[in-house]
Amino acid sequence: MIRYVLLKIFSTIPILIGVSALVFFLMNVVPGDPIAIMQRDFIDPDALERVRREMHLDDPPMVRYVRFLKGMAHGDLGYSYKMRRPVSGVIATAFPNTLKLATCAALVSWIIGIAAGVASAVKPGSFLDNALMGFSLTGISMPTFWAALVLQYIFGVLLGALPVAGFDSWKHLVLPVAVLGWGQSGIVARLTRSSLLDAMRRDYIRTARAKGLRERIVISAHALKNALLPVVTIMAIQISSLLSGSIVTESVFGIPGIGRLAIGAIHNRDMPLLQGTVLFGTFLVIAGNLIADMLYGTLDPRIRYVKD
Amino acid sequence: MSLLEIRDLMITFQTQRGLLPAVSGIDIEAQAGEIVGVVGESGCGKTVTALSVMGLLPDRARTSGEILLDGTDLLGLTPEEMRRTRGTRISMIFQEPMAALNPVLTVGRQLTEPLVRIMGIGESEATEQAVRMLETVHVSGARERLSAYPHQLSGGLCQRVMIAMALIRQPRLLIADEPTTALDVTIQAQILDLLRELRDRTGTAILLITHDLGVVAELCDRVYVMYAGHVMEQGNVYQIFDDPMHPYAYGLMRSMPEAGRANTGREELYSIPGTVPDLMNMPSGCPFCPRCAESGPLCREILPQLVRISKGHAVRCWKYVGTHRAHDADRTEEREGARVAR
Repeated sequence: MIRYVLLKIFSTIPILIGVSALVFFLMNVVPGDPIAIMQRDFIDPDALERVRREMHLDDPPMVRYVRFLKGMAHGDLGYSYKMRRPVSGVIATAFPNTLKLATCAALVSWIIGIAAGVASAVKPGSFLDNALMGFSLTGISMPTFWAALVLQYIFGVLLGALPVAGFDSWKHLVLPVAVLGWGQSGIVARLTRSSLLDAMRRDYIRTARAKGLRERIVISAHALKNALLPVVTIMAIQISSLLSGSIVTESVFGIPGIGRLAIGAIHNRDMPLLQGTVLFGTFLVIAGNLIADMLYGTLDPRIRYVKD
Repeated sequence: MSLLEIRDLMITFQTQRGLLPAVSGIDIEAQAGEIVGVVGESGCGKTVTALSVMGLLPDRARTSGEILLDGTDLLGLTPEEMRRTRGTRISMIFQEPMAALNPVLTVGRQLTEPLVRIMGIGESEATEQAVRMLETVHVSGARERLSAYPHQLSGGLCQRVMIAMALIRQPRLLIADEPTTALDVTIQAQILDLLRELRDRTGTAILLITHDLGVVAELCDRVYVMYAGHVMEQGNVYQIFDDPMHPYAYGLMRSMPEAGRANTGREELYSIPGTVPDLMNMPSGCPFCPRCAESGPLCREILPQLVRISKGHAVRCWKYVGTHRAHDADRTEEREGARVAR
């Protein structure tokens, strides 16, 4: 098991290098000059050239990329052009906000998603089933920015009950969590439903009933334990992608998290910062997959990693 | 009074094509301590009958008639009363022991579950009972097996665990639905021996559902031969095997390979011509008639009654009507009358 985990962790290194190269060279192809954007208001050609030299931006791309890789090997993600601070520090400041949002959204989506999925699967075809699945499908299908705008309009503008932007109190969390949680819970609900329906058709459910167990126990102790295996995988991947920042939600609600950093870095052609956020996200997604893998092995006794 | 008495049981399924009659008025009895076989091809209604005794038929099934267990009509029980009956008075084991055990729960958890969750016995006492039960079904190293998962056990061992699980609350009746079909031949024999031994020791009656005549001959006291939802012949195991009277029953006997007979390799095994009729379009009259070499015009018109041949031996065939006394004639005639009118 430990060997397996170590192997997985080492195998992330080439992925991280590949992703960084992709981002680096793509950003070089994209038109736009970080220095020009920085100095938008007073364009003095001499000053621009001086700054460019100071930041080593006049070196060829390959040289700059190798320099970046060297830094990364030492855990140094570079220096943000725009913020004039180390990238790792910028990410460390923004991450708690994203963490708060992602954790709340994930918890909401798991609780609602699993509850809705179970309620649907217990009485398939019922009114409740159709209503819940309609709600889930709506959540999955609605574009995030649109759902955010609609909720902002209803709860912020019409009802005046909740703030539409900012990140100062728990009230500011409600709408963004609702937007993210709705879509994510839809995925969890639909997967839970189909997986549980499949489990309920299995022979061991008939056995559990033949033992005289209450239907509630048949579902919770026998069917659900099997049905949640694929759901757990999705949940681990969900949380890792939520943690790497929700660009749209954070932008619409003005939350200073990783997602907003990334979009800001693109606008400003702030290469080091963009690299940092993308690599951070890549790392989280890989870690999420690894955790899903390990959870699966723990929950399903049939799957055990080969020992050495 | 018999332990189990099924009277005029009819089971129909609501399907998209209409009502499907799976079982059309059967009578089956089992005494305490008796092993009763129900034999027939797939689709003859034997498993459906077993599930109806357990109260585990799907919602779209409609049942009528009576299933008396110690005099109580199971069909008249509420779902909650039926749930309390399962596991305590009747238990069931199934065809695929591997699939019938929950893959993510340990053997111990599955064995002790009814004791802990339903009877409220303490965890450690339940574990002791589970160990004793596993020893009863001859599982070696019983205590260590409790922490095993089903995929770590062989098929035969899984079936032993299933049997232990079914008998842990000492039911009066055990329904075994093809308990050996998925197992190797040598393991089959061991499981059959175990079932017989448990019957001898506990006096639990066994209703054995199978298509395998060898299993019936090995284990059963009495046999019901079913075809397309009807009992075609019933009797004790000697009457059925030595003197099968219904053309379907002796067709079955002839299609059985005999271990003792010298096989020259040239002799082809007998098979009954034709196939089981579509239950949605049952022929009027005897359902076996289209495949029967001895059928006459009467067979196509009217389903015969069960005719009593000798004590305990009865057959549903026109060949014997008039030559033998009709079994339970009144009730059967009443039913035939209704069928003709319909």
